[in-house]
Order: sequence, then C-alpha cells, then structure tokens
Amino acid sequence: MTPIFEILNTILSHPSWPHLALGLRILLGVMVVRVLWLVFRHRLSGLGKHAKAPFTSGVILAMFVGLFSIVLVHQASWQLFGLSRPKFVAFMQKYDRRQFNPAHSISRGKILDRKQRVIAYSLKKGERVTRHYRLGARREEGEMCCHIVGYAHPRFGMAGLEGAAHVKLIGGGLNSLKEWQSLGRKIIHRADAIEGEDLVLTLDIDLQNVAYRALKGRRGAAILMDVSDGALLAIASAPTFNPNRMASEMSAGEPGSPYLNRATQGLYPPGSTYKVVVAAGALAQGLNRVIDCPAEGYTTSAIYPRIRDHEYYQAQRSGGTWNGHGAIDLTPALVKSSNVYFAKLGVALGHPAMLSAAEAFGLNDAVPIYASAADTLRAAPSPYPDLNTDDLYGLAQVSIGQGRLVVTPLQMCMVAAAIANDGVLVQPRIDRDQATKTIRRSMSVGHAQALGVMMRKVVSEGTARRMADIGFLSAGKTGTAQNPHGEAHGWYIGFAPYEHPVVAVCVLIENGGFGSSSALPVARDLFKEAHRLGYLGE
Amino acid sequence: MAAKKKAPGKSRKKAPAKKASGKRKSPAKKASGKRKPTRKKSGTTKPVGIRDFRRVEGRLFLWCSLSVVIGTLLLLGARPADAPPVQAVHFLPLVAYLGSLLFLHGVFLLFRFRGDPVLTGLMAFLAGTGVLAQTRMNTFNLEQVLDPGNFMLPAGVVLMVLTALLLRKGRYLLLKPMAGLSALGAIGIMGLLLAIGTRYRGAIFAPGGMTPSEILKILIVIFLAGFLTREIKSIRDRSHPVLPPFRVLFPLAFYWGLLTVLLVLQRDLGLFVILSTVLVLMLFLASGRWQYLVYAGLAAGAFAFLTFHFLDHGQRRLLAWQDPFSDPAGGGWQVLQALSGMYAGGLWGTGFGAGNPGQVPIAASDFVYAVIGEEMGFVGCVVVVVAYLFFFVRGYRISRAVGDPFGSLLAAGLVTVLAVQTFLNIAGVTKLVPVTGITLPFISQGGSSLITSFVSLGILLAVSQGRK
Repeated sequence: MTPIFEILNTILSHPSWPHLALGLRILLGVMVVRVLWLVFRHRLSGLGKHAKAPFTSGVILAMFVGLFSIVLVHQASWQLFGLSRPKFVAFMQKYDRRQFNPAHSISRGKILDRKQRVIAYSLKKGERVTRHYRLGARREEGEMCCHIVGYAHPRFGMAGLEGAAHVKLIGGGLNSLKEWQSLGRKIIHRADAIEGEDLVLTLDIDLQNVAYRALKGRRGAAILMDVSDGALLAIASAPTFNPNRMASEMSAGEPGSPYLNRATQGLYPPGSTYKVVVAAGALAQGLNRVIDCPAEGYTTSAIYPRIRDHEYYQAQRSGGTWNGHGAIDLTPALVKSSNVYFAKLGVALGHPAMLSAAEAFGLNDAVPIYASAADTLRAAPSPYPDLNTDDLYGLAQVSIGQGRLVVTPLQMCMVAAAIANDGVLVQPRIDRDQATKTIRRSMSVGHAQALGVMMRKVVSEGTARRMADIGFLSAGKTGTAQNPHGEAHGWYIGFAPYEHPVVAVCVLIENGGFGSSSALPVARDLFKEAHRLGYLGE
Repeated sequence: MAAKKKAPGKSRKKAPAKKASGKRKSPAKKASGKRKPTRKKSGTTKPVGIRDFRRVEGRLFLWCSLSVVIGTLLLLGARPADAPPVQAVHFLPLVAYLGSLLFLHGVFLLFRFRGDPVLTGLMAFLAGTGVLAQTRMNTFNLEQVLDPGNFMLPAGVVLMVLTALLLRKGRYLLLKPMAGLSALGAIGIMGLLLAIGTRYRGAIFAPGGMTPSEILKILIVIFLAGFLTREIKSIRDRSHPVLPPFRVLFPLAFYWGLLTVLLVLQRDLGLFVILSTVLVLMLFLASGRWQYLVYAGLAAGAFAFLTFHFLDHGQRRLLAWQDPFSDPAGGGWQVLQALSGMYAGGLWGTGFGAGNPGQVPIAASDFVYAVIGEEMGFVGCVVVVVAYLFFFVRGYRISRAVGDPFGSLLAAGLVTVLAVQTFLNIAGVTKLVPVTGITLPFISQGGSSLITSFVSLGILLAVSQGRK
C-alpha cells in the first residue's frame, strides 16, 4: 500500500507537477463537457411518449431558464466586470486578503503638485502594489501634505484625497467604448498592468513646505489660497503623521490628534478676525456709525461680565490707566480691534443681520474642496450659533468672535479671499483640472474695497504692524481668541498684494497667544515665499 | 481499519478506467443472472433491456467518477508544501463518492429499476462537484474517519435508493391518501421545533444542530399534490373567468396562513419563500390558469413589504443586500467577500486549491457557490448552472410524461422545490436577491438539507418509472 502513496507524493511534489496539473485541468474540462453533452443527447430518452405537454410546465421552465440567465448575467457584472464598480474595487482593496485578487495590482495614479512634482506614487513589487508619499529625498517629507492628501492603506483604509479621488486614481471612470474593450482584453488575459489616472493638485510644494516648517512643533493650521480662482496653494495642519508608516503611526496612539485636518475640520472661536465679517454686515446695512467706546466696557445686562478692550487689560497689568477709545467709527474700531465697538455694533445690527452677514461668507455650509461623481471631500461647516432672539449678550460675544461661535481656518481664509476678490466668494479647490466655482457675492465691490482699506490700515498702523516690512503692501487682521482650553488661539487672516490681491492667507495657532506674535509670522513667511516664487507679480 | 484501508486501495490501485469497468461489470453480472428468464417473457412488451436502459447512467457515472478522481488529485497537488504527505485517508471523500455511485447503479440494475437514468447521472455530476468543493473546504473530518458527518453522501444515496425502490411500480400512489397526514405532520414538526428548538444565527435548530424543518419541503409537496388531485375538477373549473374557486381553496388558504405564522415565528423566511413558490406553481400546473401567477405576484409584493416593515431580521438582511457598502465590515461582509473571491477568480478561476474561499463566512454550506466561482471561475459557474437547468428540465419532463395527475404534481412539486432552492442560493450569493440562508442542493455541506434532497430525488425517480 505505502509504495503507491510514496510514488503519488513524489509526483505531487515534483517540479513538473504544475504542468501535469494544467493538463489534468484541461482533461477535466473535456470530461465535464462530455457529461453535459451526454445528458443533452439523452434529453428525451427513456421518458416514453409525452404527447400531452401542457403549456404550464413549459411556462415554468422558461421562467427558471430566464431567472438563471439573469443570475449569470448579474454574476458576470461582478465577477468579470467588477472594475466598473468603484465601490466594489475600493472594498476589495481595503478588505480583501486574497493575494492574487487583481484589484490589488491596480496601480493608483500619482498625486502631483501644480508644477508636476510627485507627492504620492505607487510602486509595484511582484503582485502587491504599495503606496508611497515622498517629496524629494526624505521619507519624512511625506508628512508635509499628509492631511489633505491622506492615505490609502490596505489595512487602515483611505482618507483625504486618496479616499475622495479613489475612483479617479484607480482608473474607475471608464467612459469610452475603447476603454471598455481594453478592459475586456485585460480580463481575458488576466493582465495586471491596470493603471489609474494621475491627480494634479493646485498645491505648490514650496509654499506647502513653508507652511509645514512654520507649524512644526506647534498645533495649528495654515492656508494660502488664490483669491480669484479658489486654488489652494498651501493647506497645512499640525501636528502631522507619516503616511508611509501607518502601522507604527496608528499603534503610537493619537497625542495631539495628528489625524485631524485642523485646516478643514478643526473648529475654533475666530476671535477678532471675525470682526471683518461684522464690519461687512454693518456696511451692508449702512450702519457705519460713530459709537462711544468707554474704558469700562459694555454689557447687555448687569448679570454678565463686561466686554472690554485689550488696552484696558494692558493698562491694568502695567498699573496705569486707560481712558477708552472714545467716540470712534468703523475704521479706527477695526484698526484698533475694539471689542466694545463691535459688541455694540453687533447688538445694534441684531440677530437677522448678523446671521445673513455670516451666511454671506459661507458659514453653515459644508464647503466641497474636491468633488467627483463617486465621492466628495468637504470641509466641516462652520456653524453660526442658534441664538435666542432675546440673547443679546450671546450676540455681543459672537460680534467679537467669541461665545458660541466656532469656525474652521478654511472658512476664515474664504472670508479674507472674498474681501480681496471684490466681494465675490469663490469655492476653494484642490484639483487643478476642476473649474473655478463662484459661490455667491458676499458684499458689493464698494464695500469690499472699503473693508480692504480698513484691513490695510490694520497692517500699516494697527495690530498687524509686524506685517508692514515684507517688501510689498498687504492687508490683514489679527485675532486672539479666548478659549476654555488654556492660552488664547492666535489668528491671522489677510491678503496680498494690497493693490491687486492675488492670495489670501489664514493661519491659526492653537493656544499660541496673541495672533500678532504667533500666527502673523507664519503668514508673513507664506507671503514672502509666494512673492519669491513670483505669485504676487512684480 | 482494515476495511478502511482496503477501500481506498481499491479505488486507486486500479486506475480510474479499470475501476469504472469493474464497476459496470460486477452489477451487470449479478443482474444478468436474474434477468435472462424474464427477458424472454417480457421481451416483446419491453423493447429495451434493463442494461440498455441504465447504460447512459453507467456512462455518466463513469465520466463523473473520472472527473472527481482528477479533481481530487488536483486538490491534493495544490496543498501547501509543508502539509503532511498524502495518505489513504485523503481519499476518503472520493471513495465514499465512488462507492455511492457503484451502489446506486448496482442496486438499480439488480432490482431492474426503471427510474430515470439521466436524472441520477446529473445527481452524480452535482454531488461530484459537491465532493470536490467539500474536500477543498476541508469539511471532512479526516482525523476521525468514522465521523458520521463524513458519510452524508453515501447515507443520502442509500436513502434515495431505498425511497425509490419502496415507491416504485406506482406505489408512490400510496402517498396520495397520506396528504392530510403530511399536512398535520408539517405543522406538528414546526410547533415542536418552536417549543424545544434553540436559536442560532436567527434560525431555529433542533438539538444537535439538525434542521428538521427541511423535511417540510417533501411533506408539503405531498400534501399539495394530494389536495390538488382530489380537488382537481373544481380547480380546473372555469365558471368564473378571473376569480379562483374560493370555497374549495379556503381550507388550503387557512392551512397556509397557519404555516406562514409558524415559519415567520421561526424566522425561516427562505423556507417560506420556497414553499409558497411551490404552492403557486403547483396551483398553476394543476389548474392551467395563469391567474394564480398574478395573485402570487401581488401576494409576494405585500409579503415583501410586510417583511421589510415589521421584521427587523428581514430588514437587516434587506439592507445588507441593497447597500452592502454602507456596512462593509458588518452586514455586507459575507456577500462582498464572496463577490471579491469570484472577482479574484475571474473567467477561468484561480484553479483547484489556489484561491482563498475561506475568507467567506460559512463558505462550505450556504456560500459554496462562491467557492466554485473563485476556484473554477465564471466558466465553472456556468457549467454548474447548466447542469442544474438540465436537472430541472428533466424533472419537468418526467412530470409531464407521468400519466396520473398525482404523480405529475408530486414530481413537479419536488423539482420546483429544488429549483427555487437553487435559485435563491445562487442569486443570494451573487447579490441579486437578499441572502436567505438556503443551501445549494447536492453541493452544499449540510446534513438535513442534503438528505432531504436525496429523498426528494428518490421519490422523483419512483414517479419517473411510472405505474408499470
């Protein structure tokens, strides 16, 4: 008995067994066909006369033949043409552990910056395709765009643009007959060289690099955006994670929430930067009035603490006295960032006008940054708080960017861009080939220019004077937002060059203290680099 | 041990071709001794001798046996390199299969049974596919050779042969007066199961993991065939152009309501769909009136609506079916893994043992079709579906050829059960319809279901012989 098994084992483990196996498989196929052919030839034998063939059983048979045909066609749509189902391919790439599943050998297209520099690419080793994020020589550089680009990992799934643009990257959008034909050939030959499309971004790696380095070691976000076409030139969030090492990154836990894209998902009180929105609302209502701003501040009711100007606290700290701003109008109020003025102004505007001012700049909307037929990458909406009509103190707080108001850095960048763009709010976009989309006109050209003049004065003689010496004119607004999580958040929004605005900036430094000392320098670096790269004209 | 060793030895020592010839010779010899005298007597009335009659069965068995031998070798060759060397025990499923076919053919020749030879051949093809799929999925307990689970196929074949022989020569007509008893039995089983069964995966099982409700597939068909034959005149009555004869059908409707309640309480929606489809198609066959199909369509729509709105069990399955991607790692997991496997298999399949069908939960029983799709490819699936269709075509032909209405309805009902079962299984695996937890006849692992399929086939064979 045993010699037979020895011989059998030798045959089965012999190097030429695969060839023999192939032969046996073909033989098996022939025999199976033979069985079916025999059955078919004897389909009538042995049944005797069945002259009476009622139509009923014919109907039932036809029904079953039809049903099973539908099943097979439906099955083919998955088994043979599964590539035309993007969600299915995504599922397989994410969850399927089968080594030889063709879905794993689809090479995702590259992700490039606006100057065709590679941000993410796929490498094929044997059957498996791996994804790499590298800019220049060092792998650490992959962290630079980690939030907006995201990652595509067989175990951890997809995030960011890798997730939203997945279908495009794997070449799932088959449009023409030719593409279908080539797909058919690939299926029959089981070819593995299926390559997706490249995605070209609006980012400029040099600018992104400046933002990344400026934020390193801190928590915050920095955005640089083209004011007229919405193209995001840089959008960075810190802390970062390394998309090349997802496994060790994930096991390290999440100190400082590195996976949160603070630029688009982080919600923070905007502080004084929000005053430009209130100012726009006041201009729209024709409410550019002179308001008395005494040192003792302002409150809507004695039960609430008084809202005061920062000069008051400064004087208190240094032991001196401060007499208040006195009666001022909108421009000096914005330049000096007077809390008392804007609290009073906001209350004078009232709830509906404040809400419409906020919505004019896109608050309450989830802004799509990248949109395709299959998926959309959106920024979190910045929710305008739902205040009671009799809650005037809440309204006063919102008017100075505090209280229950929280916004994303991208939202504040859009505010700056709309002012710079003569009042037209443009949708931010990251895909170079996606058309520019205007959301709405936020304010009239005249009001936008008036607000621009005020923001210019903030830089030339107000809280953002550190921005004055960069070699060209710019406009902006600082913000220092009190929050329950420790030190104030530092904000800066602005645009440059002042005469013909090209870019808008927004920087947020979590718990960074004064905006003028924490956020403003980052914005200045971005402006300088944009100028060096020639984005700002002469 | 000795007997065990002998059996595989026999199968493999003699090469497949020789083996098959031996298989055909020995029963033929046995039969020929007895046959000679009878042949002279009835030679004039029976133009075809039993050997000739069953010849096509023998040939089909031969080709199927050879295919399964090759398939087993291919599977053994595809085992991982570090697996223990091939031993006699690895041929247990193959030997059980060959032995079953040999037994079937031999006994039928011996008893000069003239049940349909093509149907048994198709059964051999499907069961052979099942043996290979189960060998692939390692469902045979090779550590304990005498595990009864290893001998489900031989047990099923023996039961099938016994059923066929018991009911041959028109004795299946004895089932006709038992229609009422079957109906009561079906209700009794369901009630008992509700009382003492245990819940698992949303369905109810009897102690020991058995699903006695499977037997309903036969009992209900017997009941319906008997009931409809008794009332055939009034059912065919066309005095009203649209409405069915309510007075006659009222008891049936009442009974069906009771059955529905019991099945819904059991959450056995798959079985309910099978039985209801059988009811409708048998009404249609018996009456020849298409109106029943229309009523059935309306009832099915209403039932689907109610299921979706009032049974969260059904609702969950429907959601997993409609949009599996909304919960890919949960409700959608099984069907999406099955489809992923089939996609990996493509047109020609990954080949025997080269795929990863184990990724699909319960691949060996409910999702065995995905295993075939992955390793044998789309082509393999088409072959299996064609074999099933041949089986059903043959079944309905038998139903037509039978002279008496009871036999005809009985045969049609049994074929319909198998056809609906096959459709629900395959369409569920390919996400055309929601998954109903139904096995694939003759191929899936699963004791009660496999045995029931074989017994149904036994009855079908008995009916196909006619009353001679």
